Amino acid sequence: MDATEARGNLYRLLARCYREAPDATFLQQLETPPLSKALALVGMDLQETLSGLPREHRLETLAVEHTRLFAGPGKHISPHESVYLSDGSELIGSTTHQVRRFMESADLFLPVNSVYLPDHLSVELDFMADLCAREGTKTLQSEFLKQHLGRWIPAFCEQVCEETELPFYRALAELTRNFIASEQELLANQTTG
Amino acid sequence: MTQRRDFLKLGAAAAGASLTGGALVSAAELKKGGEDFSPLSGAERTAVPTTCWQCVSRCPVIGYVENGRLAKIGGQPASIRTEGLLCAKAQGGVNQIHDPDRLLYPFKRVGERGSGQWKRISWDEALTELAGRLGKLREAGHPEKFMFHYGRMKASSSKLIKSVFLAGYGTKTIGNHTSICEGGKWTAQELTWGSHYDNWDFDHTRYVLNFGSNCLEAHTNHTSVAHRLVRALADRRVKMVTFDVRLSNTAAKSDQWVPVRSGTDGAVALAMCQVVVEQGLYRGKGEEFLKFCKFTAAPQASQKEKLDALKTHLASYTPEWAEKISGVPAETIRSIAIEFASSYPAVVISYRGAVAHYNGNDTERAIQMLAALTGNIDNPGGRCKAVGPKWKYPKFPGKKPKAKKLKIVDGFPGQAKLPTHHLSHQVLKMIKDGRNGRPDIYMWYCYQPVYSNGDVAENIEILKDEKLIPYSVCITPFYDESAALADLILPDATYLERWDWEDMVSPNQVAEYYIRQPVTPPPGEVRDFADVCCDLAKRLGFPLGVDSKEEFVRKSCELTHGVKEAGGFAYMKSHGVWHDPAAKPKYYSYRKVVKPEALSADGVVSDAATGVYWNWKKTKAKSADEARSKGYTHTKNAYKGYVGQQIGDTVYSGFKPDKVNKSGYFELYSTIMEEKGLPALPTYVPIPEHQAMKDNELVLTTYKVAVQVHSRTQNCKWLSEIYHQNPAWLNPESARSLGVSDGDPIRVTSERGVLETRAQVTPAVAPGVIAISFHCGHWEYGRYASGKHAATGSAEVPDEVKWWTDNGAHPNWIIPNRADPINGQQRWMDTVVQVSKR
Repeated sequence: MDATEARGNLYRLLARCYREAPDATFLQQLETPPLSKALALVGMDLQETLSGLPREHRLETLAVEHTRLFAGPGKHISPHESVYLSDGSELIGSTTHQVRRFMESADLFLPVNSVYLPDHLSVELDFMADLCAREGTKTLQSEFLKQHLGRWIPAFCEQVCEETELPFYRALAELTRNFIASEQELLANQTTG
Repeated sequence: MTQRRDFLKLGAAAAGASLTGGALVSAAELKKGGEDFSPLSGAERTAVPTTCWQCVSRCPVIGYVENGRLAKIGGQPASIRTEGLLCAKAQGGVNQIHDPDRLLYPFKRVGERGSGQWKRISWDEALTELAGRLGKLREAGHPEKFMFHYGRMKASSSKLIKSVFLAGYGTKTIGNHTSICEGGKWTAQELTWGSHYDNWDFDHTRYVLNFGSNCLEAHTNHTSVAHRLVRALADRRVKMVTFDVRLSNTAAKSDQWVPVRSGTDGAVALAMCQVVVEQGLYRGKGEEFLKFCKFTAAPQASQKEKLDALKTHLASYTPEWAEKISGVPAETIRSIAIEFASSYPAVVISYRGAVAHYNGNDTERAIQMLAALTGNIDNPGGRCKAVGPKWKYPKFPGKKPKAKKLKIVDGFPGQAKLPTHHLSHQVLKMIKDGRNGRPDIYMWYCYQPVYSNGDVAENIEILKDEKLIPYSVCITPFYDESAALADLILPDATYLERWDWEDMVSPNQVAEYYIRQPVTPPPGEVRDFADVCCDLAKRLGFPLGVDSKEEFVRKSCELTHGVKEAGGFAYMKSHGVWHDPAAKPKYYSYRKVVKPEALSADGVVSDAATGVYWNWKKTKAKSADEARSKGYTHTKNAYKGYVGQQIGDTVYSGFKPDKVNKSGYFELYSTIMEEKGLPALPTYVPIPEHQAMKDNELVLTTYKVAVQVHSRTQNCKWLSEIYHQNPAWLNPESARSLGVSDGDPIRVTSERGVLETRAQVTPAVAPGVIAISFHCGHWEYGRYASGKHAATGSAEVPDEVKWWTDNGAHPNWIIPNRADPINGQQRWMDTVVQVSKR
């Protein structure tokens, strides 16, 4: 597997994690080698992060925490770039439109019946995965990180780390932050070099 | 770089996980509609005609959509109601869609009720659970144990949800919120002139006499009415006098503000009636109208008998008597009465300042009497019967089940004698009491039981108690104080994301037909609850005949005369509004003579006691004999068969009754009230708790401001930026005697508890009164309303977005849920409080 494809897979994996809480199938996949071992290598040792949770309550606990952190109701950490960034703090804000335009300029479109808005974290990550699957998109990838994902991921992840009561989501947030940082570095080198 | 390699390993390993389906597709895979938008064409702005919902006025508006995003809301120039104008609340509606704290998914409670622990669930899971519970009750023969409680549900939403879905299900345990709005005013109108709603014809009036209405800031038909009043005042120099405890902005724009003691408007109105009769000012138009009025027990009384009865009744209600009660000088009352009666056409207007009291029913009846005595009823320039559109809509297919009902929506036995608009603010108390049964499922829609009623602490306690309410469902676009206490939250569409046909009355007496359509699609998993009802009904085995509200609206457009011919649904979608260009303003509807064939139709009988012609077949009577022997007044639902009123030798369409078996007269002598042991003629009754007030006590009055509605607009950033704090208004005289200065923190104490706020010392409120607005003091409802941080964790709302920290105080914590003993209206303006510096 080449590096770009691997990067794309990881974006896709993270997108899945932020979109919804894991279901039984997904959690099992996460816990099965080689994925579980690879996750452990980057600080997300599931045995460790899930160790405090009784097996029969794991899915429920993860779902409740996912809800509390990323969905509400009430106070939560909005996984929408337009809300998270301070330029108006609006759902479907001007940033949402910019993200949509960016995606459409890469000939990627969000269906009209999509549950998620273009600037939902999971959609932005999916977009990066889609770019990774295409040749000649390094500049687009770099620009998207610069203009969008990279602008809010560090603070967002830091806040998740502070707020979450589950090691699973702390590890996920740390993984996300570190990965995006590494991506920025990689793409900066590749596009300037 | 080690970590980079590890990331790649992880990425390679992730290939094994089934991560199908990224969010995005390439253009070729797009579903129909997606290709409408091209990033290359630049900003494209679409104007979508739709309808506001910020307040109950429901003004036609235009939403301007730019890049798939609602950029602004403007007026609808084609509307004959608003004439293209729009208030601040309507413009602030943009924020409803973009509220960063809005609900995007269904949520199920996981911790203890009210603990704030939730799990996002799918619609399928939510509806499976709900349909399971609803189905069980229905199959067990107890559909009435499903209580549905709505705050605002109008027009097509009401028809589809209430008349089709709930009727198809079989529950009549349906609560509204009219008793905390202005239900009392409507009951008084039903008793006098039949169906409720008075329109004030400012376009043609020469004089405006106002009792307790703040219609320039808040009204059930706000923009339509307010801009016409402004035009009358500014362009035609119409004189306006306002009686109010507070210098509202409406009072401020009047020629004269007359401060009045709280709850004594009825005494002033009666004294004005006394002046009109004593000085013969009824002669002319008033005298002509007397023919259509009932002032005595006998239906066919002569003019002289009527006038004699009036003189006797009003004799003691002199301006001097009213001065002692109201604090308004007798000479002021007399001179305003004379001006009003001499300025035909003149309009007397009223609202909660006058009617949300213990004695509100008869205050409104006294005001109706003043209008009647001067001939200012349903005439150009006067107090008119409302005119609205008559939509036709698809009915429930097949036979509806016989509906059942828990007797918990009309208050405790004897609490209100004629609660024609129910006692919604007693529902939770009745559930707690339990003697009339409790719902197993309590669902509320566009309603805020916790915050919008008085007795907030008790509301919370009852809603939290799983023994009292086993299962609760909240349907709302936003997480408010009530949603926080639900078991299941269903994310509703905002009004800018849904379909409706609309039907608010017209200020110019010509009906306007208009629709609401989505300006942008609902985000996330948000769904219009009416669409959800279509789904639920299917799951429960009684499909509604339509699959969505859109289909319901489309079919209604094809069924409705006028709209259909104009081009039906397609016309309405592109124009938003329609009215019959040939229609003449409707006045004097009561003068129409009933055709002889209508009187000889099958089932029509005449009633000697009242002079009413009525069709017993449309009532609960089982035979003509039963109808005749019981008579019109005492046959259940007789008003539904009303045909006309005999006056002299002619049968007139008269004042058609609604909800009560009133005759077709303009009834100032009410047999219905008399039979309930109440005074038949409008009478002043003092407010009991105001009679023995101590020196340090004040009457708490509440009010609304121009940029907010009671509870549902505070999440709008633009509006809460303008109005977010509400210091309590105190007259300098009251403040001095309490030792309170402007800006002081104060404690306002009622028998229900303590409210901490600040004092604003101002002569704009009468002595003896403390005025606290609604709107403020939310503790949920998102960052702009509640003053809470935006998100969990450390990030606060940036200052440049929300710069204010004080979000005010909510008076409902200290206002008890009480009822006008006649009509059940919540007594918003009667609470006695003590005020001290803290």
